[in-house]
Amino acid sequence: MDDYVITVLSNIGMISFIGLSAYLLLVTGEISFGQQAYFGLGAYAAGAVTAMFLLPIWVGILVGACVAGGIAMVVGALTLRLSGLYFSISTLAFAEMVRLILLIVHVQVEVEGEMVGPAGAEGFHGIRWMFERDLSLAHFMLLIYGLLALVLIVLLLVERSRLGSVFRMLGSDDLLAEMQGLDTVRYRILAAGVAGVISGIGGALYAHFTTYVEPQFFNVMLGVHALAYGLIGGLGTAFGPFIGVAIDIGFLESVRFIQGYRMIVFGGLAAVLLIFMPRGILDEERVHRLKTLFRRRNHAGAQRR
Amino acid sequence: MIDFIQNTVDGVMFGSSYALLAIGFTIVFGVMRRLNLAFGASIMLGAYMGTWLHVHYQVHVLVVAVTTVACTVLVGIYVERLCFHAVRRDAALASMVSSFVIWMQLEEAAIHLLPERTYAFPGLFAAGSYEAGPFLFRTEQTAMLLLAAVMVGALHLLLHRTRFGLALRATSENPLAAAYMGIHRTWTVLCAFVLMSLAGGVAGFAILATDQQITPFFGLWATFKGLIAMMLGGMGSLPGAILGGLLLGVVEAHALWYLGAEYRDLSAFLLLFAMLVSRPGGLLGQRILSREELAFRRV
Amino acid sequence: MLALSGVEKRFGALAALDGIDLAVEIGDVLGIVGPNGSGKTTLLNIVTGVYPPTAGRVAFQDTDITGWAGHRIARLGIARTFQNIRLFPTMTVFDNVWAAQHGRVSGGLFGLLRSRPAAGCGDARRVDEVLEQVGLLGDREVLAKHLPLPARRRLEIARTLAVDARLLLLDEPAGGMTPAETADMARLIHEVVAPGRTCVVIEHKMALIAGVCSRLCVLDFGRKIAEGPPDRVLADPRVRQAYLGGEGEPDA
Repeated sequence: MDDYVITVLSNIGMISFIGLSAYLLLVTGEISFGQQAYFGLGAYAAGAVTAMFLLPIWVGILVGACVAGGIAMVVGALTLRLSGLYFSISTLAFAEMVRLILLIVHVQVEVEGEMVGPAGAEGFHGIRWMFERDLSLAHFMLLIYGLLALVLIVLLLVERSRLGSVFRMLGSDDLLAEMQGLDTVRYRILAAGVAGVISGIGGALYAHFTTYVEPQFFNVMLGVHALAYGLIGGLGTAFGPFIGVAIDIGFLESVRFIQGYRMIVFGGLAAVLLIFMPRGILDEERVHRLKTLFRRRNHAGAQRR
Repeated sequence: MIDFIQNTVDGVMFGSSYALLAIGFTIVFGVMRRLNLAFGASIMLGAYMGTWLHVHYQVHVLVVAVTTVACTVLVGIYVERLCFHAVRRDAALASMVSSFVIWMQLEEAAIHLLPERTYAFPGLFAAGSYEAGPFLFRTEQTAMLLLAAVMVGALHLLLHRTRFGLALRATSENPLAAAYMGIHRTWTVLCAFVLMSLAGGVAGFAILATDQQITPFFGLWATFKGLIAMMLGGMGSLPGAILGGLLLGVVEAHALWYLGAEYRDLSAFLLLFAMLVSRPGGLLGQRILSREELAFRRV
Repeated sequence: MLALSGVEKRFGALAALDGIDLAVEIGDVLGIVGPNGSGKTTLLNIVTGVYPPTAGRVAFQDTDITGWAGHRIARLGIARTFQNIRLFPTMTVFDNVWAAQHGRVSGGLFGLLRSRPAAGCGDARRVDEVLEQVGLLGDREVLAKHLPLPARRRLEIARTLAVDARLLLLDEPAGGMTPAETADMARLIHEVVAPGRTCVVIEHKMALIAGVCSRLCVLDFGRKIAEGPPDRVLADPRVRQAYLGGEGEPDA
């Protein structure tokens, strides 16, 4: 594989984290326009850990995930009272706040004769953990996909568990969930935290893959994409966001004819899809139908044997 | 002290453009209880078409003005058909998300039209200023403030003195009952969008003619400033739109003066976030329904 | 078991409930009847903590639960159904009943991380048992939104059975049903739900009330106007006045 292909694949992998993060919140019934904030916070925190304090990358990823998750829980608690569009706009406002604060933050330390750290609008350069260890892009891609697989497996396990069904209950009818003895406040904050962690891991990887981050990358357009990935793929299964990513980057990016007009085609596609499939391609009902079909097949196969 | 007052005056002047943008948001929110996040992008696309004529054919500034407003209205109708009319009636959030994704589509289209970073936008008259006592006022900004006041006055008359206004208000109160009374909902909503786009087109032209330039950031800027001003002042309240716009302008002006340029936008979002967390309906808005109250109504 | 004293609920100027005193003893099947808008559902909403009362106290098993959050009240063992049926429409019948148990799972968050059980094991056995009782076992894997109305009402009841609630509150369990379906529902409540349980049933249909309830309480404009054994209460002239406009026999 040449570097271009590896870069594209790695980008798909990293952007999938933020798609999964938006998806998890969509499942619990909350539309967040601001998951890019946690991506950015994860990137800055992880970058600081490895480049400024010279700690290993797994500490960086862990710290990035915890910082993003912790802040997401605080924001979740603050915006708990809000519903619907008020919640969405508050996430948007928070994400822009984070981006603008990162534009101001200027904290640098001297590492081996060089100043390293966030430098306001110039961004955070010199997150060179990967190159200092002579790792190739391909190695790092494996790390990205390894972690992505881990997150996906955890999400799929959660979906099969009572907790996953609690999340769906919140999204479907939170009063009914409350009437069945669930502390909806607690689970909402929990969901916000988990979504923040997922986005933060993606950000931590991103910082180390590109070796520098700048606040401008975590703008609203990243949020639009994250949300669109979650919605297009469908709210029925955690595989959904990957369908969204595949359509956007995998398909549209690779078809030369569309290339310059990707945003126009993708935006229109997402809008049309919302009309006909408001809960995405693989929504709960279609997932259920697929499962039934699959089970019947298996059943028939077992009987034949 | 003089500085403080001059800053406040400057803030009111900035705020007039925010108020103009907030009026557009207010009209559609007032009628439909929905947010059109593609608003700024549609103004931007309209203004880009006007600029395109100006760049390539050096047309007169009035032609630019008419093109900007007319194209903004056309784009507004497109957004209404795609994101609001076609999306299920009860899915207010789907409409908002849909307008959010259309935002990037419109912005991309505008950038394809004029791919460079900055273009000159024709001014209506030369920039000027006048003094009143120790304070300095800019002429164009004063004109914008007047324009905002006139627009709110005209809209108020339209809403409260005409049959069309009555239809709009009835639809806003109770769409179903309004429909039973023979009000054609589809038309009413479309009209609200046309009105929003008209207000947006006029606001966009006035702002750009003052700045005398246009950049690809205009769409984002217009959506955010208008949205923040509306949400501060009060969702769906016309006086609130003016109040919110001026408040936002004043806060920004002081942040700019005392803290520095990078704090200007930050103060705006901080203000919005704080307002949503503490008083989600805005200063003059109706009491909004919190989660518990919504649950309450559904039982 | 459940005791309300002086419970009052105002929505603006309107008093939906006005000084209600009510006691439900263990083993009671109490019917609450009354014309539309007399405050029956408001009463259930206050008991289950959807909203707090404006004044008065609610006690359950000698614990004062006035103003408690809904989930805490539910965990004490109070389960309810809804007049305008509330289910999780995109979950299967099995999942709907299974979901009702989430709030009672022990072990906090870690208890919730256990996977959905395979058919016939652990928690699934209890769910299937309940589905069998209400006659929905055959529809186990059907999405709730695809069920016909009577089956949805039975699913709501199955949900309350699955958590072994101490107090069941049924809000119009035969609402929108034909006479034959109503008779089925009356049989289900009488034979499966009521034995060994304490219930409060809100209903309009005398066919259901008469066959099921051991005691009746009549509400009118937010006040309790009568209470006692069904035959005596229904013969009360004030009840006939309120409920039937003062003429005719209660329909069967």
